Amino acid sequence: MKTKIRIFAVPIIFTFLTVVWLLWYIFTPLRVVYVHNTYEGVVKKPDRIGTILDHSSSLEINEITAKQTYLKLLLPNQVHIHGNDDNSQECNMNTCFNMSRCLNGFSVYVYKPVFSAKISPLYAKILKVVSESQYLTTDPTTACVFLPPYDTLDRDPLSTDYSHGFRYTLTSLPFWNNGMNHLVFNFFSGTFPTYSHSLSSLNLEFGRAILIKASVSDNFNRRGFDISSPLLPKDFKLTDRHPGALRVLNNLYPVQRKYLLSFKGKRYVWGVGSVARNALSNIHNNRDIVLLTTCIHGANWYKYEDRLCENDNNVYTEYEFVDLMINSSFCLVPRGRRLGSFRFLESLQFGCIPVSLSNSYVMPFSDVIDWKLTAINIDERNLFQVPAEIHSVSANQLLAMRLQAQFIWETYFSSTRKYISTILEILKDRIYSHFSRSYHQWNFPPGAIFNQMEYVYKNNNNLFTAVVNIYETVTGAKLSEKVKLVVNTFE
Amino acid sequence: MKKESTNSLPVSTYGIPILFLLLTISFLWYNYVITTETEYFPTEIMVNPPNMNFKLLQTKSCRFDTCFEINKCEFNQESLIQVYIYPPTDFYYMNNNNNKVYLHFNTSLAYRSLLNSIQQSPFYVSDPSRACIFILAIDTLIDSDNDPIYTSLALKHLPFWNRGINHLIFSFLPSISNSLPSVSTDRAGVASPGLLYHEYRTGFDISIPVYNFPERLATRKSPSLSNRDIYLLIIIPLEFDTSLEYTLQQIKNQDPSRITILDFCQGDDRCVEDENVNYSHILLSSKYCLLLLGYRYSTPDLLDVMMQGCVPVYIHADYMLPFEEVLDWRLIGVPLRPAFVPQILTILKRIGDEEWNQKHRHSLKIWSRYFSSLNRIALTTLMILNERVFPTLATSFEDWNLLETDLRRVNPLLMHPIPVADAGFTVVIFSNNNNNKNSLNSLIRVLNTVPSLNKILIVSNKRGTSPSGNWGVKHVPIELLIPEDHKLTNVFLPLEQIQTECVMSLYDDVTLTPEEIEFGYQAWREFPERIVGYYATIHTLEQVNTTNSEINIISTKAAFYHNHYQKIFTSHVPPAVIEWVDTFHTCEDVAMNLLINSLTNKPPLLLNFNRCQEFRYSYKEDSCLKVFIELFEPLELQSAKFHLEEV
Repeated sequence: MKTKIRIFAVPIIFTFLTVVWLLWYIFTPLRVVYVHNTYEGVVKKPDRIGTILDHSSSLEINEITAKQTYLKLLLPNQVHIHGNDDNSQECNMNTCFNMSRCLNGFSVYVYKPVFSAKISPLYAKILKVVSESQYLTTDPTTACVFLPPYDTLDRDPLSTDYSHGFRYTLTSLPFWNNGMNHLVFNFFSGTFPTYSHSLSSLNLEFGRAILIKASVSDNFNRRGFDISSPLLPKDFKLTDRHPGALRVLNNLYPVQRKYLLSFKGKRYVWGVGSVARNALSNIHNNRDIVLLTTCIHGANWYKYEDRLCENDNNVYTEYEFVDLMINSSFCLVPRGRRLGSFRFLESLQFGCIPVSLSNSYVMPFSDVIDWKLTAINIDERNLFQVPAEIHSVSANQLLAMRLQAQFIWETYFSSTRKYISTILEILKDRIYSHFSRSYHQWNFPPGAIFNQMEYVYKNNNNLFTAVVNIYETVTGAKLSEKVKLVVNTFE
Repeated sequence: MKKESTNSLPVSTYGIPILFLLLTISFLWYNYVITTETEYFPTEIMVNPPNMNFKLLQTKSCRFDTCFEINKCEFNQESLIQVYIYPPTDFYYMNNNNNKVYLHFNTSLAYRSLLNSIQQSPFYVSDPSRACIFILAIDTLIDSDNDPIYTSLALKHLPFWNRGINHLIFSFLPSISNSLPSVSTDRAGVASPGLLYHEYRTGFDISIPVYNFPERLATRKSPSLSNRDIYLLIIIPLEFDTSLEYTLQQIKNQDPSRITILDFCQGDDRCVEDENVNYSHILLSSKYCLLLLGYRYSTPDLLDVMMQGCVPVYIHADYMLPFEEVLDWRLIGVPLRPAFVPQILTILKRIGDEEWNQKHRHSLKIWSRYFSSLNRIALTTLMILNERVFPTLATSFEDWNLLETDLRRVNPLLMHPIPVADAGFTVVIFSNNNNNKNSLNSLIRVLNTVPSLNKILIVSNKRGTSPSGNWGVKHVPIELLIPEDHKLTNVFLPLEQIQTECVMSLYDDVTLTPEEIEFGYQAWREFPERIVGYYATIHTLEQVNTTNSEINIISTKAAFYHNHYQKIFTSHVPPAVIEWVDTFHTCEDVAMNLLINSLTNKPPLLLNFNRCQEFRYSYKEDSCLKVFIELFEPLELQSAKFHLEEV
């Protein structure tokens, strides 16, 4: 017996070692690195860029060469060629927008409603909010921008909200002027099965209008011209703010929540945008990373089911959507058929940090909002690095991002009025760029909407305007008493 | 017949392990020896003969996720991308007579300088198999005058070209007539100035400046000290557009002595109304410079203007500004839409002197850091690429733009959107001395009657017996914690047992009434980001050349502060400070005060019950305050008078 063991011992050991070695070799590229900070420092981090830039080069250029090269660069007699206006992809604020209408101030004209046109509740809210805006003007000859009375939100031909025969309707507007200075809102474009994000997929003749569009793709975004919009839920409130979860539940603390990362949503199994969600089960661990998908979508879902569907569908009902959101530190926001999703705004509202997996997606209002302060953007190809990335976010950062998410939600997205105000202020900053608001004004309290730059830049530089914000504090003293106190102090 | 000896084992038994051994060795050999082709790079490459059917290939839809292989970029400790530069090679084709015809490529000094910078940077690797980014040896800058058709031909035949994926091509100027670029870049990324918005592939290309060769403008005058009251505005028309002439004259007529229009005369000299001027000096003498950047931003004037400290007023149009990916140009200059050019004087006057000063100083800083040499331009380009590949370690907006860190980004408590809920507070009693047990008991009896108290934690740091016993009939939950070591900083350990937002740090030799404690808690709720306490010490720093500064430190023997500070004390206070406190067994309150001050820039709050004590520490003694202030950099101590009284 002993000799038998000896005979087989050697090959067994070798096999074991080789298998171990092979496993190490195979999994090494996938080894994830956790970055743990011990001493984070108080405020300043070492100047990484400066260290690299201070590396001096040994090859210097002498003055003669410099002058010769410079001479080549001077091309004073270039012909000034404007962009080709007929190609709408090249539209920009100087060629497709008539600035002279805005020289005397910003104003919006809302066309009178057309009774035969079908208007969805959401577009009706948009029209109403703009009509109540401080920028409204009833004189179309002096207006800076125009808002059409036709609902262009849903341009998916297969959707019930789609208006047929609508393609050229906008061009019939009395002040259309090839769409210049008009604002066209759109949330859904493209359709099954391609779900194209190109501008032609709107099935709409919009000329030189500015598109305020959801699910914007980098490839079709006219930089500095279009505005990327979030997807608004249908029951979005008009003027009352939807409060953020922090205000309602007071759940800022504890910092680490029950779930680290969660997701609950449909999985399309095949077709456009299905890759991202199909792979989620690979990092689901049913402990602190809970990613639930269901294959049930539409009538004939079972025709396309894969081998994971049965299990996925069963597990799906074990967790509740809102409960997951409230108790998660991070919420995964992978693309679906289209690049944007309702989940993005929902996570912000719940104070859950969005982890976006949507390549070439232009985030909402990214011209002015620095999303790095509150969201994490990961390339879809790097799904397996998601756990490592979120683990490397320190408790302090997590807290800061959570508060930033609530601040951004409440300031720019918490009601239709806030949403529209943000869009109008972005337009103003684009036109009056010499007086535009700064990065810090947009990204930190109280937010940009309250900063009216016309009052900041007054003619006499020795006077200043004091803006007094009075909040309800803990003591519950009456508002009128506080105002009296403030007035007395400044008299 | 002898049985076969059990010692002679069949061949297969030893054959299998030997086979595995051979397999293992061959794997290792393949992995570590054969694939490194460092030594071998062809000195000559043959290309197809150039023909008339030249097609310009540039994949417009290329983006980071479609035309960049991120797998090639291995993660390393410093998270720097690996950049490889092709060695110089000759390219030839065979003509009809079967002779070698060599393609001739110039290499300008500028390009050589660029390559030299990259080679001496920490990004460079000499092994192409480890490369994340490939840089060409062929000069694609305009002053090399290399034929774009030949260049495109050569590129296609490079050994690692792979349709240009992961390659970065530098260009100083785009071609004027066609869309950019004239070289067939296929799927390579392009670093070029003057890219129009619809040509620039976001997240893929990089917008670089037109280098201005600062030696041309070298003067002995300092841009920050020169007299800028001579001119308010210099107008630099860079495009020859007659329609503008009238508008510009109108502007000049509004203030003729302080506005001037530059023009080109013979060669590269600048003129004002046909009289030569010293371009460099005139830029030093004006506050603002209006740059009428044309259709293609193709001249170095933007950098000239910045370098001389003249605040650029640039036309806000549809072309990318240098390093627009990371730099905020509104901080450097004034963006102006063409429609507002006639109103420029009104606008400039409304901007005012203070903001001019800020932009002026900022331009100089930014020029110096990112634009002052080809080396810096090349390395900044690579840094931007680096942050695309490793986004989690990306530099913040404030660091790129050399701004002071906004504390609201770093300290979440400054962003608290809602008043702190009235959820009560936790007391951490620090029992350090061998005090009378009775004082601890009476303290707890007092605490029991405070309405908002949630929990009592006793951190017993003393050697010997621990307190126990009855503290009253009905009391709030009490927990006793005995840390392993007897460090003074144990009072600030991030204890899991603290579940309220408010923490009160209390020493067992303190006497307070329940009303005072409740008032303190309510006061804290109004100012949750600060430290609120009953005892203050005044430290006086006698400094040599400046006035003495007095600093109030709220003693942590009776103080309220947010649980967040308790949690981050050990990770955010410099280790040297913690070591100092534990070694000398004092000044823990100074450490906590300085931590909170550095994260809020606000003073602490003293509850005025006449419990002030004065301690004076002079600069000469090695006081903890002086030591800590140096370690906690940066720290701006401001004077403020603030105290709360119960009414």
